[in-house]
Amino acid sequence: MSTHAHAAEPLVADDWSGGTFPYHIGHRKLGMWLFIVSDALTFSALLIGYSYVRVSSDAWPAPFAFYPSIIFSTVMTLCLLASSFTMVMAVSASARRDRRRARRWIGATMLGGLTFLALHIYEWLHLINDYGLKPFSLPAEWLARWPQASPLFGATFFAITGLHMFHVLTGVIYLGYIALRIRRKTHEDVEISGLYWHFVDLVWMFVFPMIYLLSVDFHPPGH
Amino acid sequence: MSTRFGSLGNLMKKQDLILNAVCLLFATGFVVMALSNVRWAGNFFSIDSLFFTLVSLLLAGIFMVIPLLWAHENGVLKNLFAAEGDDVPAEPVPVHFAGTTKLFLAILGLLLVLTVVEVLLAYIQVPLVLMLTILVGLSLIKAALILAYFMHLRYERMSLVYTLIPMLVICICLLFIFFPDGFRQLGLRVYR
Amino acid sequence: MEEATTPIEPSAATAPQVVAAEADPHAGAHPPHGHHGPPTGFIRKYIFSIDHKVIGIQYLLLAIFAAFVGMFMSVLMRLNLTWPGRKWTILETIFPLGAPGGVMTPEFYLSLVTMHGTIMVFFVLTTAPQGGFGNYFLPIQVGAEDMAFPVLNMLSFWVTLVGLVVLIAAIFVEGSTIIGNTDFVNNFLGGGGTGTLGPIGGWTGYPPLSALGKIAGPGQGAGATLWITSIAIFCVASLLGALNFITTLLNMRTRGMTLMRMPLTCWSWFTTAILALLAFPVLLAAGVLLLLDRHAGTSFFIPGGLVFSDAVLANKGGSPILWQHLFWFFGHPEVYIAILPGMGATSHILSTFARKPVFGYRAMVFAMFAIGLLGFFVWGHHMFISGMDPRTSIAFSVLTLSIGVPSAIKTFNWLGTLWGAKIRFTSPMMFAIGFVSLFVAGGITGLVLGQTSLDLFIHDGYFVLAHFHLVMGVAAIFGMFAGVYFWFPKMFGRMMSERLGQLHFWPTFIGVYGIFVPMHIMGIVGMPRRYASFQEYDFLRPLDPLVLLVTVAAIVTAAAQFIFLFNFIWSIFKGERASGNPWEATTLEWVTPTTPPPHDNFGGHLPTVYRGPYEFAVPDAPEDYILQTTPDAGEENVAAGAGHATAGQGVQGSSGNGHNGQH
Repeated sequence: MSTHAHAAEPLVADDWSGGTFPYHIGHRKLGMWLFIVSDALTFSALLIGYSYVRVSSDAWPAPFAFYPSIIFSTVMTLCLLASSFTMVMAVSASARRDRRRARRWIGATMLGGLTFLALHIYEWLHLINDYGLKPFSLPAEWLARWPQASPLFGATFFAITGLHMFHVLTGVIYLGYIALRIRRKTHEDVEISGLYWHFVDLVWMFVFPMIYLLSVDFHPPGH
Repeated sequence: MSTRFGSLGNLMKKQDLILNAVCLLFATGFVVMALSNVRWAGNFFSIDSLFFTLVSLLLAGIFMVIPLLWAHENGVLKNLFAAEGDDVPAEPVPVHFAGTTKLFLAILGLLLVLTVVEVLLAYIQVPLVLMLTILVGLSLIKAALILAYFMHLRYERMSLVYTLIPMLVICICLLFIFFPDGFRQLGLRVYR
Repeated sequence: MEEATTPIEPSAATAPQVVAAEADPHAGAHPPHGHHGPPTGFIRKYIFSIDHKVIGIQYLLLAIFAAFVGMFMSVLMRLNLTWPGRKWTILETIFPLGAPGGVMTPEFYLSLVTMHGTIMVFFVLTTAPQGGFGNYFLPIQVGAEDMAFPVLNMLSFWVTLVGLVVLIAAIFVEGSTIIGNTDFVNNFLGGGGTGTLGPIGGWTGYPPLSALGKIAGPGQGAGATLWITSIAIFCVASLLGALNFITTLLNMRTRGMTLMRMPLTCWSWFTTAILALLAFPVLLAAGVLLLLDRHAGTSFFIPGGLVFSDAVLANKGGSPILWQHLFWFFGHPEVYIAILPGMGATSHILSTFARKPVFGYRAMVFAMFAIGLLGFFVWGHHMFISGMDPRTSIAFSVLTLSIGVPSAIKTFNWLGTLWGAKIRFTSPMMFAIGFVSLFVAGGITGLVLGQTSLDLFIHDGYFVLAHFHLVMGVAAIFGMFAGVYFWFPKMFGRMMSERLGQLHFWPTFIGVYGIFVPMHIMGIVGMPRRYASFQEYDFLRPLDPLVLLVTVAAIVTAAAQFIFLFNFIWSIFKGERASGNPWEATTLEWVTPTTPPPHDNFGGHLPTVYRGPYEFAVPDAPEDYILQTTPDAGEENVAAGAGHATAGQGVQGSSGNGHNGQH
């Protein structure tokens, strides 16, 4: 067999001539990249849909006071950013074959993700219970302040952040699975889970300004 | 002889798992249906409701047979946590991971600074349109940083970048064509 | 440790690759099948199989089933349109609610329209050419053992099947008062049992009617819920399938299979997969929003001030146009998802039976990509009458018309391939030629509809109906038929009956023109789409003979499909045994060691590719075709033992796929 394996050698001249990985990455990593592209488009469609209903509304409520809402969501953002950093450290450790440390860094990442989730759920409950925001209607006092405001505020808020939370939750579970079985996982597996986690972080980099920072209450009633 | 075949061999196991997962999913679905019927049926002791519950549970039971048999045969839990001493599967491509802790810390710092800048903009109350422009710009920079360093795209082949980024960018740009219509709606609305 | 045993990648792009087979001391130490053989149990082999070939056949069977259901619905629609008010006793037996006394209700008709469209577009046109043939032949044609993610592949199929089951469930939930009025349906799905077959809103599901639930009309409760759920599930399945296709094609090509040596079928599946990867997530997002509208009380797509039953709805602030944008952002690429695999198969088959290389291979590839790219830019032409800004619509119009350029390149290249050829008029070739004819006939009217000023008048009429049925529906289905007849010998090891194939072709070909050409005339006269009956319109009375002609043609065409069904089933069991390469074709699916191909496609030895896919009628060659695995004369001495036209030809280099992992 090996006697005529030379035959194809002149043919395999570069990355694209077959028999090799053109991007020098394995199947699963390429698959994850493609999934990320696709999922990014889902989020883009949602964010564009949100922008669409916002520009076509007469008024849009701006209910987030700088303190505490924006500070709170900034802390959430920092959680995610920090967890992205720990994830990259996990991948780095796994590249050095240091599985023990990789597992610890992944644990830290999951902690960041869980903190984010907890804070976010707290935020949701706060909005639902204390303000009375619903997916289909605005609280009465908001309507009093912004009489023409679109009821879609709650809808877009819950839909977009909800989908993002779902992704974070999936990510935490996914990372947990990787951490649990890290001895059986290749570096590539860790790296792929990292890609997914960074993507979740990346999406939040758009959700946070679009949803929160563009709805800052400049003149909260208390002041 | 190859991990590809080896992995196909593993896939036989995976196939079992998938089959079980599918069965479990269906079983759970039917149990949920039965439970929801209890919760929302109104009068639970009607013929309709009892029949529905019975059929759901029966179906759930049927679907549970396969996973239970399989678990009985394999001792699943013992298998799941056995981590030590296993063969580590080989990497499909050689491992190379560029970047130092210092670099990643620097990137993290940069991301934090940009985030703080964004939040500061909200604090000093910039007009909405200007705010939007700056925010989108900063978010794009942050996204690029995450993509390039955290997601390691900077160290991959350029061909990967050329494959992934244009299709994403083109599609997202196309979505912006929605906006002329969005603004038009504002003038069309009769009911305020 | 692992660096030493992993295959060595070239350090620089230009350096010749060190093939792993030599670097690895273990190469050849194991039998080809290594740790396992093909699966043996029935369930693993045929039901929950991870073999792309079985999955491909599963997809194909699903599509054939769905196609017959959809066809049955279209015949019912024609019956209602031609003889409105007439009693069909059998209908009363099957649909006691939808056709009381044997007369179809208008709602029943509208639900037929919806379900016909949905089933045909999603579960036939999207699954069969891509999921069916793509799954089966893409890995073989690029020289891989399986798809990149076999388990994901299996999941795609099963998720697709769940989608179809959910859609079919709508028929029962809406069609039966017993199921439709259970507490479960009332509480979770929005209420059913209205005597339709599903939602009545059309396959585009335009809000606000689709977003309001039961009050919007019969079938819009549980039927529409199940409908949109089914679509969302289908989106997920298509996404998984698409990323699998792209990864397989990019990462798993065998040695020597450069991009420009891939058959055009592979190019078309690749383009289609990219379209699916980018278009379906948008529909998924739209579907999620629509479900929220229906069940969480939001109003993304519901404008303010809607009055139903004398009550003003509480919803406000949404925009139905947003749905149209999101839907058609997916919807137009979807059209190309349906037609592109047909184009690929047609190019492949035309070349094979014309015994000539494809005319302008590179141009074909670029045209295909141009069509795919432009397909994303033109969704607005479905919305000209939504009142969009005229400047936007001009842009969309110009871009739409520009698709004519790559389409014309393809058409002329097909004609160039046929020019001066000694054509073998086999049944796959007939259907491929039929595809070209239908694609041109349907595509030409696209140029009419692409112009805003004309579209404003003929939109939502039979002209549009005729246009997209010809170009997207029937042409794509002709591509599928061509594919079935062409690849059947490889898939089942037996030939389909040639005589029955011809008998199937002629009534189908004449029949579809008989159906859709008169529809153009009806459209120009002003007959609107989606009307259950035209009895009230005097100006449409003169069209009655044409309506009858269309119906007769439809019934003949539908009847002819049973010839195909018979041929298909009969040939699986009783057809003449096929040789490994019955069509004397050149690509890799014809060099597999057995027919149908073994579990790992090439018996453990991946082939090496030396030449392009369509080398027919090469001067000085011993035969009029040269397989892709045949080395050039200079290389003949190294490729020892490569006898001509034997099954194992060109199979050399022990599992010689560098990335195939000699660890």
